[in-house]
Amino acid sequence: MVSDTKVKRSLPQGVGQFTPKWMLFTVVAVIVLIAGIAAYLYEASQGMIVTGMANTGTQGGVTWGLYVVMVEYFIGVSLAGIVLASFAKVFRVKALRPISRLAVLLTVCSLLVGVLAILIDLGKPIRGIINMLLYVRPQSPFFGTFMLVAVGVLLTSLLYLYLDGRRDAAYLADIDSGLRWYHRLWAMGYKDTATERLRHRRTMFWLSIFVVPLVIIALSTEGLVFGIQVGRPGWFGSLQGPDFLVLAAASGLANLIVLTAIVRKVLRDDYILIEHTVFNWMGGLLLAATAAALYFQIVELFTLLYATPGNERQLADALLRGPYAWIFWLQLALLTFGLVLLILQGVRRRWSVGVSVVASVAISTSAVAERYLTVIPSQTHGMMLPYAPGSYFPTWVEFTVVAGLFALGALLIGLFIKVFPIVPLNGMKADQEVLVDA
Amino acid sequence: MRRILTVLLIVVGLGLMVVGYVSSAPWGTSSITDADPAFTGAPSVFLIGIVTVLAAALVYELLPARDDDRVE
Repeated sequence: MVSDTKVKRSLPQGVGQFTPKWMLFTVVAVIVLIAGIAAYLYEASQGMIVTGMANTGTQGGVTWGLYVVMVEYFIGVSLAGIVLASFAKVFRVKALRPISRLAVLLTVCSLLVGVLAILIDLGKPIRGIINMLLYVRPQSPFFGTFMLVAVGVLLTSLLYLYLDGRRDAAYLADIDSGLRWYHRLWAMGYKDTATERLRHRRTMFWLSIFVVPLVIIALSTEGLVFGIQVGRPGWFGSLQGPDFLVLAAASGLANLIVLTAIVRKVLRDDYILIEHTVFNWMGGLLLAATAAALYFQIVELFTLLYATPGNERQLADALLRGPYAWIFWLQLALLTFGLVLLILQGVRRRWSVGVSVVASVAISTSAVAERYLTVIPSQTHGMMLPYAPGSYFPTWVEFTVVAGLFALGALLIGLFIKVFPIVPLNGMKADQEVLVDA
Repeated sequence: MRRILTVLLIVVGLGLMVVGYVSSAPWGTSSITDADPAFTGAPSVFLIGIVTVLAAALVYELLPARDDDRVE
């Protein structure tokens, strides 16, 4: 009865469809998030005594613990997404376009949880923020992490995500759905005229040009938080900045590959939207970043082996043979394992999604361990004053808070996918037309 | 109008960033007593500068133009 039917468009890519599996994911993420908030409130009421942290030297502990490790990890993960999206935009790499929004979303979410991790570590975050706005100096690590990373990169990424999605929002605003008001708000009057398109291209081009040096400066500063400190063995050195950047690129790409594989699986019917060539590109880039990261590790290892007697030697012994040896060798093995898997795929020129995901998980886990080894051992070993070596193990409070941060990041990504198409509609078959009874 | 406003925001934003950065750092002294910023709140000026530069992108893209109604 064709005459009794009319054409109605539905929201693409499962937007607005809250499936039982998605609900289950959301419930689990919310429970973990609530547990994390409860653990943080417990810590806030009892004081940092409930964490594994203590004064360095006098109490034999660390003042920068798991939270700072995760700050370094999350901020590192944020690097790849926005840089990859900008790269695709400036050089018009069509193969990477389907994952550009997902990449920027990963940057935004990892920066948000990274900034939260900094605030959690502060103990009195409100006082920290007020004093930062009034007194912080550019020489302070806080200036780099907050002013450049939190404000500069996070705001730029949010702006990028917003402007890049306006055209799709305008398309979705024409579809009758419960999310129409939201898509209208996002579109902000966009009509897809030739002049608007031209302006949009120009804005995105210059924003992409602006964001890459900003990210590199901001994240190098993050590495210099350690690299410019002469008071601790193992931290002071010119390689900290580049080393941070390279591992950040590897961990970011690894997370993006895992996320892309999950999204590709979730989209199912829209499987074709994220083609296999995306994994070829990301696999190749991850291979280069991981090889560079491993190179830095080996250089560091040789330097440690030839460390001069004294503080540096104590740190080297703690890492190679002491209490941190199992983490050190495990992270090196995981990084090598991930690299070998990538090389094998690269040589055969056949990139498997499953193998890429396994390699990515190994590399990402190795990155967490590497951040741990950067932050912790230099505070417990190689004291310049005559203190005995210290130790640190995070308590359940710290683990729960960190789990809450992961859950928050996952929840934000999960929610976004249900309110906006994660694969850009531009230039693709966006219309999903269904016939319904009039 | 759009271009003038955009360039103005970029110039003002960059200016604020430079003023905020220079005023936050105690240049030319190694004394701990001169470690504070030149004036209280100087780091906020740097922050406002970043936001102003980014606002230029919003203004350039969002400000409606006369020929925007001509849908292709």
